[in-house]
Amino acid sequence: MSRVSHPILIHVIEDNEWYNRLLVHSIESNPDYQVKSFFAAKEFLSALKTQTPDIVTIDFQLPDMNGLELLKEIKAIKPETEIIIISEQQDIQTVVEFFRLGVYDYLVKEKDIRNKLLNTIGHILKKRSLEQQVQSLTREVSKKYNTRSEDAMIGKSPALQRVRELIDKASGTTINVIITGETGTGKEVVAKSIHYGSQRATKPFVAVNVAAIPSELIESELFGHEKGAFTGATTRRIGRFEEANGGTLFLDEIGEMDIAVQAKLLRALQEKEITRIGDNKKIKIDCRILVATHRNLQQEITQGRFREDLYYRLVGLPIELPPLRDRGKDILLLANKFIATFCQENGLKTKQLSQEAEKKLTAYSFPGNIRELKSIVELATVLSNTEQISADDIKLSTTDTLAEIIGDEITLREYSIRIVKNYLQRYNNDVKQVAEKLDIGVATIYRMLKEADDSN
Amino acid sequence: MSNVLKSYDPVAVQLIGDGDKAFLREMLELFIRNTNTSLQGLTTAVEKRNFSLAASLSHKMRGPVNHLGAEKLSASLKRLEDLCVQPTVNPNDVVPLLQQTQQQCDQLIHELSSDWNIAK
Repeated sequence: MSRVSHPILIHVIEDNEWYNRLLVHSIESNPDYQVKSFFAAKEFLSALKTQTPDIVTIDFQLPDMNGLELLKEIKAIKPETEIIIISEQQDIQTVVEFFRLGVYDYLVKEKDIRNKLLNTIGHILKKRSLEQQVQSLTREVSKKYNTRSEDAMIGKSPALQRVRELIDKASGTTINVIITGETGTGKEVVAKSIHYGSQRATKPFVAVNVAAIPSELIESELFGHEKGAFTGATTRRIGRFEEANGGTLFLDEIGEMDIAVQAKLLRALQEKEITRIGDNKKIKIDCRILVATHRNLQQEITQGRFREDLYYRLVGLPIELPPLRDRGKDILLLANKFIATFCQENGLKTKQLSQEAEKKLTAYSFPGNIRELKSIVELATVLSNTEQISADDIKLSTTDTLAEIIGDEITLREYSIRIVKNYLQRYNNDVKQVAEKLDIGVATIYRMLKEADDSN
Repeated sequence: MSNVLKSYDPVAVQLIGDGDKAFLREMLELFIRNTNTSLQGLTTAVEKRNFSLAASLSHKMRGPVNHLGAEKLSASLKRLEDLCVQPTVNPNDVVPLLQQTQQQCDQLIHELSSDWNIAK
């Protein structure tokens, strides 16, 4: 067990002088523990007004009060105090009642009481230490995702400022939130900011990427399953709803959810209870649901791919994340932050972007948004041989940056053909989809391609 | 020290001190003193037919007695406690048991004093 920074205050309440002395001596064998002994309950309760012991050991039969009564009084005054009952053998009902009222342990007065008591105290302190670690980590994470923190959401563009305001509104209430935006715009970061800014911050944040889980497994992932519920279910598994109990469940890419699972999700949200696969027992759930999608859900409803009733159950405050290309100078703020972090993590000297590199970055359309920017600048940092990152170090995943496209002196028709060809490449030569995206007719595309072919 | 026919468990007694001889001595002295006092209280309570007090005293005496591994005395105290908590207590059952308990206590104190060189 790790040593603690302050002495642990332990109160011993035992009216038998011999036993009192034995317990005090046993506890005092550890110099980290400070002991105060009492021979009656009222004497102890009076001291409790001014002192806050970490742990209290109480004998069941005290001259002025029995253990159960005293236990209730302590829990009412100082609920955080851990209590150990040390007593002669009691009947099982009394022992069950002790635990129901929140005692940490029940020890019988036997020859090995010294070791048992020191072990129990050790367990309590270990548990406390873990609780403190969890609190500290939660505080750190909350700070990281605080919308006012510069590290949480980098950028000064008006579009991002608007997102920050909406996150604050979402955190301060229990309203449902739908986060939309292109891939890589930071939908999960927004969901975490809402969670860690809300009253549920100390409870779990559980994220599920619906698109990443095969449709036949998503139900088990969300609701859990019992052993033997289906082939391969060798053990019982709790689902993400139960995991997020008291906290927030973030369903990313909800638009990809199978329509049959949507019905089960709707029922879970309406009833606020779930049933594990292979079980009939209903389990109450208490978690806030945040969803995100890159799709237009209303369009999905029209096309029969998303349930309208589920949409209205989820809809609340829409937060639309701007694509990186619309965030102006945020691109450079983010790039510099990613470079600095990467250099720090890899023990490199901090590098700066050259003016040409900055121009190249700001001219690019970033279809993969922030995620893409991060990988581009990290690669550039590695490729750069000096303290300055040049334009050549910036390797864009496609060569069609706006700067490069308009750099060539060609006609508008030729530009149009390039655009069409690029889209065809992006959408696997699906002419119909490209026509929809570019808002032109399918025939126009074929005509342009033919013209391009003829001119070649 | 031989542990043949002892009314207590010398190994259990050593455990109380956990290597601290001064503390063990202090605990044995305290045990002898408190047992004498408790026995007097127990006798008076039975004489005055205050059986709930007798039950409580018997119960309290058992903790330290168990630690010394004095099993027969512990069993007598348990029977005494059980008798005294009955709704109707027959003094004819209690008195002989009390006498037996007193004898066992005297025996234990004698052995402890002699084995550990402690004044009674």
